[in-house]
Amino acid sequence: MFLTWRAVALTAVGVPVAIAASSAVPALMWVALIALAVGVDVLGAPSPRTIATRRETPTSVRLTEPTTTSLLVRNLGARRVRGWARDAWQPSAGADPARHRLDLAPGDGVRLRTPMLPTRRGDRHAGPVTLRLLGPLTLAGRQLTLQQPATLRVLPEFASRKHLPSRLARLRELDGRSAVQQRGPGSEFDSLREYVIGDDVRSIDWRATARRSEVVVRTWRPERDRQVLILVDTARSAAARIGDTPRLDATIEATLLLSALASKAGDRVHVVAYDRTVRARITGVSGAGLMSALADRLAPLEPRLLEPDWTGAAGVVREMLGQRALVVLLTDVGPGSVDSGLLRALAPLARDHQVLIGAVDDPEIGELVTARGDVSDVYTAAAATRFELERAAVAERLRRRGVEVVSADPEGIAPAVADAYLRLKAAGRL
Amino acid sequence: MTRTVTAPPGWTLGDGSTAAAVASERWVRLRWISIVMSIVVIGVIVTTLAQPSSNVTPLSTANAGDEGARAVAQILRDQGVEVDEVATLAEAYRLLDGSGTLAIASFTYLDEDQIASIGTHTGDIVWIEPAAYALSGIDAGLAATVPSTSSGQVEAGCEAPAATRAATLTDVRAAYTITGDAQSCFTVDDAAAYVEIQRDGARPVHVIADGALFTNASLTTDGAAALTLGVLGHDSRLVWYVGSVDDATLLAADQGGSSALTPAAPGWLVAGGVALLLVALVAALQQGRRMGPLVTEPLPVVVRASEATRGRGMLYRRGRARGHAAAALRAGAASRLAARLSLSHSAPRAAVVSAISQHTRRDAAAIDSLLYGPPPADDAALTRLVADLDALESEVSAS
Repeated sequence: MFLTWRAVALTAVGVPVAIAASSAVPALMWVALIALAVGVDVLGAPSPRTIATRRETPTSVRLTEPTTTSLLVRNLGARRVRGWARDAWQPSAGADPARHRLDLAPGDGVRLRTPMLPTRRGDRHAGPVTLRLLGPLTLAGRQLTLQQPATLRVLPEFASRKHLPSRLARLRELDGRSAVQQRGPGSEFDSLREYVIGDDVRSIDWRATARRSEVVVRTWRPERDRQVLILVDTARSAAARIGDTPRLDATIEATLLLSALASKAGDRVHVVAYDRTVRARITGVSGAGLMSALADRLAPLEPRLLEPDWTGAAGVVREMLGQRALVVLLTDVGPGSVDSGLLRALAPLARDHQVLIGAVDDPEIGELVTARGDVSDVYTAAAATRFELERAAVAERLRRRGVEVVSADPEGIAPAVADAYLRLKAAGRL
Repeated sequence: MTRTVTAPPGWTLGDGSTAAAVASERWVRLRWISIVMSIVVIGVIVTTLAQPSSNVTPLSTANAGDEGARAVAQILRDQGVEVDEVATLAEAYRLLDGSGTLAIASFTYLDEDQIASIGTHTGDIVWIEPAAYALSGIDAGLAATVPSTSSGQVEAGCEAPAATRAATLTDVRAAYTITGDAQSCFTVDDAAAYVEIQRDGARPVHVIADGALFTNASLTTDGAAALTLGVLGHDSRLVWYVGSVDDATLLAADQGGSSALTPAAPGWLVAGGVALLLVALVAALQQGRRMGPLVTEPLPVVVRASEATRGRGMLYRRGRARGHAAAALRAGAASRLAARLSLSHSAPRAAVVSAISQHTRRDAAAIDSLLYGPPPADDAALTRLVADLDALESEVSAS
């Protein structure tokens, strides 16, 4: 059962009466009368067990994009029902307003639409559906809560897709489709074609020209069909919050941008999420299906508060890759990385593959370094400077082992990694 | 009549329970609490209705029991006397306004000043069974003696008008002796049960040794009614003082507070308060019934990435690790300066110093001591060092 505000308002009528009578007895009797009316109302309300409900929920939505979930309600009873229905969701699903008015004649149905604006990546689960049906006096009524599971997968935002067009243009510059052609490392022989005025005379293939009656030039294009393996760290360091979101969200953004770019460039993309076990593995998917598969599989990932197992990760990488490949490791490079065995595990991997580390920095550390408020700020600045120096030292040790290291704040990491990929590709180091 | 409805495929209809099952489960869970609560509520209502606006204070005009004095007040009201019960002397003063009868029916303690202030009242003053310590304050000649109780009728034996009208009293307690211009009435073994003290320019003071005369139980016996109504009914105004424990006021106009504690609230306020309380209770029930349970959600960790660095800074400070802090700040500044001046990461100290010195035209020794000098002695020195390092860096990057 439940009470409505009308019952409260009606009780309040007793206050002036009691004051006028200088006695609480009329108020007590008035409340007793209202209690009786509430009892009548509850007994007289239609049964919520004659109301059938069904949820119709979209399977997925991109973060920050609005969507709508529907609750279908049908009155199977013999009486008209008035009241409310609540379509409850987890708070970060952003279902608002979740309460709807109900007014259904016998046999009628209605579709209640709840607008949603998710505020967090991952699987959002629906709560129960609650029905409130008013009694004839509208003072009270009956309430029933129904379990009705539903899930909405909130996909990563992929805000970094705004960087994609400019990176694709750079890729075309590398590619034979563009006017600027360069030969050398990082490009492979594409084909022979007839010389047209304007071609670089240095690219004339004299041997082929000798065999034919016309002048023939060689064309080049960037390497294709290289393997790119993106290893997303989901361990402890991925859980730390930078600004308002965990580090993992920034690395997922970088993964999506790099995957989109690399697949457009004709490379084969594999993605592995790892902490101490493989949390997600997307491999052998190419073309249009890749991005949706990535978004879907990376969406429910949550960081775990574990020490990462880098040796195990290196083993997984070896197992997946036959030929030389680009291994992109998205994590955090800090003093703790040495302790967790990152250097030891990466050294052998860097001999066989090109390893690129994309490290997500905390911009707050930079602010702390320059903070000069009082003495305690100075001490904090000292600690922050020490942290930066240690991180720079670790990055230096990694570079000496042939590992490329790029680092940027959460917004900048995706384009930074994409640029590093283009640089390596142009240099033919894939 | 029950109608059986079935859900269409894919729809949810009910949760498998029935209203009766839910109700009986709730009843089983809450029966003891609800039974006890209803007994308490019914008990409160019954007692409230059975004795409306009554109390149990002895000699109170609102007390309808054997010990109360409601009958006296009722009879006087019927005779056109305005009767008001008060708990403080200040209130009595306000109601009396200089004339009328003041009856001191009962009190816990009155000090000399209070008794003296009562004595200044020019209307009738009726003391009912005053304690022995108060007697000398009422009249210098009044004294307590061994109390004795008559077994039978006692004659008035005096000329006080109220006493002569009463003529006889039965089983009366007597306790006072009096000297001077006064009437001793209903004497038992030299102790008087009623004393009337004449005053110049004022109505007399009446002292009655037996409060039982005024009670509802014994008012009808013999001359009790005649005596009590005689002493109380002279004026059309009667203020009946039943002193509250904390009454510290005087029978006078000029005083700060009427009572140490708050006086009894007026009836309408109490009734309104109770009614409001009921409204609050109903509102709480209405708001407290949630429309379905809260939906929980596991949230990510709330520790910020920079937390460890801040903690380390605090450790530096608490441990007064100025050496460590200064070393870190110097190393950071040196590495930034080296990068700015395109020196290699591992450039030796002398090379860094000379490069900066050339760039800024500053003294090399000063730069060397700034970047590689001894650790600062105190926090002020550390702050100065940071300021100097910042100045050097901005100088290098500006040029």
